[in-house]
Amino acid sequence: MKLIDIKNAKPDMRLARAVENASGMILYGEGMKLTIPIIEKFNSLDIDSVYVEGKSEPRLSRERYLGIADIAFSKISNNPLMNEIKKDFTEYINSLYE
Amino acid sequence: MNKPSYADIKKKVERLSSLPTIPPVVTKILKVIGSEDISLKKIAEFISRDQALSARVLKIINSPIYGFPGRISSISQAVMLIGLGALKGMLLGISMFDMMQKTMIGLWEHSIGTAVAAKVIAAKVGIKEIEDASVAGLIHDIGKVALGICYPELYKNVIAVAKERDIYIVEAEEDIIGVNHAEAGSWLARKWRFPLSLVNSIEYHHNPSAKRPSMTIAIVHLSDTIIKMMGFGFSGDPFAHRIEQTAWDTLALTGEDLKGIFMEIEEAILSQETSIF
Ligand SMILES: [Fe+2]
Ligand SMILES: [Fe+2]
Repeated sequence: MKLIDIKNAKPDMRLARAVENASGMILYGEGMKLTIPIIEKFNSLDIDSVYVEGKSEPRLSRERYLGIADIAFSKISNNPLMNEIKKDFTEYINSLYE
Repeated sequence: MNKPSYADIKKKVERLSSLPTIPPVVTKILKVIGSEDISLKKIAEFISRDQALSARVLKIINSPIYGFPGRISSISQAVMLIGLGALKGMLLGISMFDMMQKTMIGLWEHSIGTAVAAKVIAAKVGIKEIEDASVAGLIHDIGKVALGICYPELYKNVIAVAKERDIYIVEAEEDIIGVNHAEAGSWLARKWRFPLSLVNSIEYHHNPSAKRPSMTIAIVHLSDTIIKMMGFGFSGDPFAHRIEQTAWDTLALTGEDLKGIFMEIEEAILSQETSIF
């Protein structure tokens, strides 16, 4: 599931979460396939993001993520808790590229 | 350049809203935030009278910073959902947007990112006051803007020195101005009668153990560091702060929780990059 900006919505994408109006009434159910008229309807309702099926592309490359983390942790590398957090973060980043 | 005295800095920061460099619209918002007899109803009326402000409020309330289900389309509804304290903080964040960008490129993204992270963590640890945590994330570094507005030349120097010497921005602030942004921010928050939890999370976001850390302080403390290690925005230096053990224990998160938190933050950032950031 990924949350996308309505500008990036395309026909044939499937809603991974229902779209509701402000009072919680379901307008389009989970699993609904998007079409041009539906996307236009979202625009007219001022809905600017929706959850669709699929996995998002990572924001940065793996090397860039890990490089930033290395610098971020460079002043606290002798702290066990921070090393634990860094390990979790590295595992998370690696899992994005499997 | 000479260091200003502590008393002078405090006086200047507390009178910030009357400085000539503050845009009139911001002065107006700050006046509303700080007025003694403010109510939700009055704030709602004030926001509704200004179209641009209304649009910004709706945009932010519908963003992953809050993550309310469904779409919020009216100011009165928005105001009801988040409560007076969080609303004042949100208005402060919105009104400071341009000045944040001027003070430090990337500070707005850092602030929004911290707000998103705080919301995600608050939901994970299961506290009730999720909106208070997000808004605390949004304005935790407001003291940087305050110091930047009050001492533009000195603050430029702070940013340059932090970069040159590879030190934390907090260290450069203390070295060059004599007061750090966490303290300066707390003066403002107190002056504007923000709720105590908000004042405390601004004041102690870098050293939560100085106070017995409340959930909100601990959340902002962790969010600030997570968003830096994820490489989103810029807050004056690229270095994570050491997460204090007491704050970590307060949150009681597991490694798996943490990975889930990283994922949700990343998704929220990705989805909204074009609209609110
Ligand atoms: Fe800070
Ligand atoms: Fe920060």
